[in-house]
Amino acid sequence: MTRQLRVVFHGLHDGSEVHDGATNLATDEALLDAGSLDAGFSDACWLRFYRWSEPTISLGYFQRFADFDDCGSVPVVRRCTGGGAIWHEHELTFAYVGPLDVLPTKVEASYAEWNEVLTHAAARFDRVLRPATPAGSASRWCFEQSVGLDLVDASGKKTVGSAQRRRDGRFLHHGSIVLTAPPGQTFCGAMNLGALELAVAIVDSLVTLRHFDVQHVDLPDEVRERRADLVRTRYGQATWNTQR
Amino acid sequence: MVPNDRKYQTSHEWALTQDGLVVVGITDVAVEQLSDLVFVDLPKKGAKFKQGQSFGEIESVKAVSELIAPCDGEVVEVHEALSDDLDILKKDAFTAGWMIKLKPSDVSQLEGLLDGPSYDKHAASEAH
Repeated sequence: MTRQLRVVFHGLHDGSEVHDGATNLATDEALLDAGSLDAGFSDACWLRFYRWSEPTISLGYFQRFADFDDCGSVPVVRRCTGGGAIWHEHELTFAYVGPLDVLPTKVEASYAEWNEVLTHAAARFDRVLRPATPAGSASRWCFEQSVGLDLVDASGKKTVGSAQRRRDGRFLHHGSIVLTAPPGQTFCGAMNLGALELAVAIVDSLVTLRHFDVQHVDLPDEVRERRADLVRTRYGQATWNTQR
Repeated sequence: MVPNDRKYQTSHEWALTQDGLVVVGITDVAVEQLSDLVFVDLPKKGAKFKQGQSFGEIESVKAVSELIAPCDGEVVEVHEALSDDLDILKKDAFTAGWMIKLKPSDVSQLEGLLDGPSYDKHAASEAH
């Protein structure tokens, strides 16, 4: 059976909607919940690529808010996925969401499958992405440490970081791809590509390797309503963002 | 094959009725799927949950999975030592790796869950 992939681009080209941290992360969790919103959403996968309306730090779900009190006035928002913190400014963020039965059941295998897609897309631009060799001591920053499920560039610097949440028979796979090396963060690799061209290539690779039936769509009203609830009750609230 | 003295959820929790309480944990299949476990977040004693609600979370190196209550009930005991030694789950997910004990509001809710052989079939169908 050909599985539907509903693709959403936010902030990748002029005139496209772009959101702050709370709205971005609420959108991803609303898509995770979409299976229970309406039967029509339950089988399809979603792939949302997005940028951020202002530089923002997202914390991993289990991280301590107090560990980032040296980051000045940059907004900080907590993800529902784990891992280290990400400075969202020079990267392309994505959320891949769908029913768990599209993924290999083992977490490691599901990463390998997704990493194959990213590697395939990078090769279209003669860029190398390869699995990381575990490196770096425990750091609060995602890109300062690697495990074998991360992707590094040709020089061995981490270029793609990812984390998953699994709930109620569905998954949310969050990822961040560094587009240009952030100033001062010499530990980061970079694709040196534009956000839109990279996103388009990843969708093409998904079609080639996973045979998805792709539809470019806008967010349905039900997802927007769930997102508004999540901004109001969670991602826009200090009780969520500073909970640990 | 998993033990057939308890009930199972498709989300890989087991529920064992024991002395009027429901002991809850996750199966060895779940442990294997998640691989390198790093953290478990369990509820406090006295917390109340409805069947199907998340009662906690378990984190592996690259994924967070929610732990789902098998029935309505109140947490009367929490396996506090588990968070200090997650290897217990790898060694013995079905006994030493228990997570919480619930005082059930309606133990008949467990009747709707899977028995051991049905869970084995479910787990096999997931493995692709």
